[in-house]
Amino acid sequence: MIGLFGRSNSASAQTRIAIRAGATGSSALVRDSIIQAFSVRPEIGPSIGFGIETGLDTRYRVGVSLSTTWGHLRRYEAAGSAEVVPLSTWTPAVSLYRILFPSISAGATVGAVIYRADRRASNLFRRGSSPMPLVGLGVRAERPMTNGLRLSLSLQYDVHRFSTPALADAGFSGERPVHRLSASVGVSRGL
Amino acid sequence: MRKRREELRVKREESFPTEVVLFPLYSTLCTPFLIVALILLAAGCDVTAPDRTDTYGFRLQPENVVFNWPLERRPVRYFAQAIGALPEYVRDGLTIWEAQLLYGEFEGVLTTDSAGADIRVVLEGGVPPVSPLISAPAVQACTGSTSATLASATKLAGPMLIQVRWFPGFTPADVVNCISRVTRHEIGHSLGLFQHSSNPADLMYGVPSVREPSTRDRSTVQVLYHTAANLTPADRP
Repeated sequence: MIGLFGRSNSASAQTRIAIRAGATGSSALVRDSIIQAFSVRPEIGPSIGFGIETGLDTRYRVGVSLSTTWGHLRRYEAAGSAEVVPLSTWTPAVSLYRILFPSISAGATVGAVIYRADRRASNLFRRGSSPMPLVGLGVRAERPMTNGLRLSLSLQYDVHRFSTPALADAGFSGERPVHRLSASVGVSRGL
Repeated sequence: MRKRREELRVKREESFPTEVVLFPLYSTLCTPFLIVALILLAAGCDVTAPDRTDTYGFRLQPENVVFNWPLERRPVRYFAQAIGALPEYVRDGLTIWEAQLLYGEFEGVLTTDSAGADIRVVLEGGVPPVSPLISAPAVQACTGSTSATLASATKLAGPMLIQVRWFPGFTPADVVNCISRVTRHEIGHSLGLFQHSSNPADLMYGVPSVREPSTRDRSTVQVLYHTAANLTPADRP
C-alpha cells in the first residue's frame, strides 16, 4: 500500500478528507454455556470516522481512516441480557476503492480492531487485548454538493478473529471470527 | 546505435503506459490477498470453551437454596474493619474472586460506611503483627466464619458478617498469611459458595491451605453465578 501511495503524486488534486457518522453492529465475541447457552456481543452502537483519500488514477482511490464505535458489551441469554462492560473499538484502516459507476464505488479494507474496555476485574478484557487484524469490503455512493463537498453513504463489512488473554486464562482455546457491519453517512471535501 | 536504443526505450514506455501497469497491479496485489485474508479470518474455527463439570456443591444446607448477588446489587459493598492490613486483604480477596468470572457477574467494592455495607468483615484477636505476605506452607494461625440470618426461606435478614480470628503463638508471617488466606476463603462464602470443597487444593476447602482459587473453585463460582438463585439478599438500609 505504501508503494501505491508513491504513485499518486499526480493525483494530489484529488485528495479529499472525509468525516462519517453511522452505526455498527457486530456478531458475538464469545459463545459460552454455563447451565445454559449464551452469547456476548456488543450492542449496535454509534460510530464516527475520519479519513483521507486520494485518487491513484481515474478509477482507483486509496485512503486511510480511523473510526471508532462505542456502547456496551452485553451477555444475551434466553432470559434476557445483562451488561458486561462498557466497550469501545478503534479501527485504523487502509482502503482501496474502485469507481464502478460515476457515483458508486466498491472497495476493500485492511486494518486492525483495537478493543478498549474498562479493566474491572470481572470481565474478559481485564488483562487487555491486542490489536486484531481485519479485512473488509465496502460499497459507497457519493453525490456532489455545493462548495466542492460530497455527500456519501457507505456500507462496510469486515471480519477479524477475537480472543483475549483473560479468555485464554479461563481455558478458552482458539479465536472466534467476528463479523461487523456498519452503515454511515459522510461528507468529504477536497484539499 | 544510440538512436536505436532511444527508439526502443520510447517504444517500451509506450507499450507499458502507467495506467495499463497500475490496473493489473491493484487487482493482482489486492484481489487474491483479500480473498485469502477474508477466508482465513472468516473461516469458522474450533473455539473450545472450558470444561466446568468438575465442581463442588454451593447450596445452603439443609435449606438447599442457592444464593448469588443479583446484577442490580453490583457493586456489592464490603466494609472491612480498619485494623492491620485487613482492608487490603479484603480488596485482594475481591479482586481474585472477580477475576474468576468473565462476564461481569460479580463486582465488589470496599466501603467505609459500615451501616450501608452488604458484608461486614471484622478481625478478632486484637491488632495483628506486621509482616509482609510470604510464600510459605500454610499454618493454621487463624480461623474464620461467614454468617447471615434468614428473614424468611427466600430472603436474608441483614448484612453478612465475616469474622476472622487470629491466634497468638505463631510467627508474624504465619499470622498475616493465614489472615489473608482465610479472608479470601470467607469472601468466597459471601459470594454464595455456602459449602466446602472436599479437595485440599481448592481455596474453598474446609481448612484452606492455598491462597488462590483453583480451577474447581473457578468452575464452581461460574456455575453458581449462572444458576437461578432462590435466596435474595436483604434490602439495603
